[in-house]
Amino acid sequence: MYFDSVHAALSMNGHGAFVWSAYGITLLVLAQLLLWPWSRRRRLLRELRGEQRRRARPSPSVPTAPSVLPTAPSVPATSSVPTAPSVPTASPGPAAASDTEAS
Amino acid sequence: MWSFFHKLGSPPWLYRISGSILCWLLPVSILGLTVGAVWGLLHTAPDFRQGNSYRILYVHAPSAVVALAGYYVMAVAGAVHLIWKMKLADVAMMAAAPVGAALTFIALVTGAIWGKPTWGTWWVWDARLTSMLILLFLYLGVIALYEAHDNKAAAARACAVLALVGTVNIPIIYKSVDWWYSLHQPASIKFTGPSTIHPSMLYPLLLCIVSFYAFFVCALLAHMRVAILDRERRTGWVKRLLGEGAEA
Repeated sequence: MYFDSVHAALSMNGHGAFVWSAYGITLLVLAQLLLWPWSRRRRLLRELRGEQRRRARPSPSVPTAPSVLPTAPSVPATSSVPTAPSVPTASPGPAAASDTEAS
Repeated sequence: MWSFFHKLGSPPWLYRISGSILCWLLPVSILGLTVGAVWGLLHTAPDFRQGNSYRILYVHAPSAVVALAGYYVMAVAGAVHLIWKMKLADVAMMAAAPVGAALTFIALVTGAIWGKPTWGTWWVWDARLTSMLILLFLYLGVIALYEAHDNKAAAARACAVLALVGTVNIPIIYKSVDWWYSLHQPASIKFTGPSTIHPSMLYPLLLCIVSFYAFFVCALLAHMRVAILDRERRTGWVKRLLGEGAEA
């Protein structure tokens, strides 16, 4: 410790106001640099969670596009998978068709 | 090597890895800054000519050094974005801008506060100070340019060009104290030849510089994480992240 007393450390022979204000401003700006992304990320996560919850149980009064989207691709996907292999395999015989169905 | 670059462009990977880096690097940098500040403020002898006002050095010099390093990060990320179109390079560029601007602001303000008792004036239109002010305007210009465009892809390209053109200012800042007559003192720490600073003042200064670098990385990653989350909000990994009840 260079200074003898708290008062000496604060006044620094008349330079205290300059030194301490420089450190104070630095501290404020650095803290702001962390607080800004931190608060924005929290707000963004809350917003996205709210959006997800709303999409998870869509209200019947508002048939929004996202509620349709998950079901729309699943309908052709499930219908096309069993029919596509069954068309070529159906012609050789019933045994081959039953094989593919079993597998 | 290539897989590393591939990963670097992967938003979920970078989001996860930056979270774990922040977990330990942020406490380390804050500890380093605290120790460095207390050391510089209370445990070093005053300068024989400037007295106690020289203690501003421990925040002024590191913030100025890292503000310049931040500009390199911004310009290199901008070049990578323009040339290789690497994913997330523009995110890194735009994250570096506010952090660099804040550090330049600290360097300018603490410099002005140091100038008052030492030079008798808050500000002079001197080469070092003016070129540093231009650095602040370059950072703010990049931010303003990005905000002005609605098309973010075009905005990022324009910002990258501005950042690259502004690089011409960096060697001017470095050399300003040698090229022009300046009130600002030349660098005390030299990579070639002996430093003109006493070891008892050098060690806390080095600690502060390293801690400011670490803090810069932390602030950069924190800004990048927000931008990644915002940009990738419609993707599956963000939805899974929300489902997991990720740390808020």
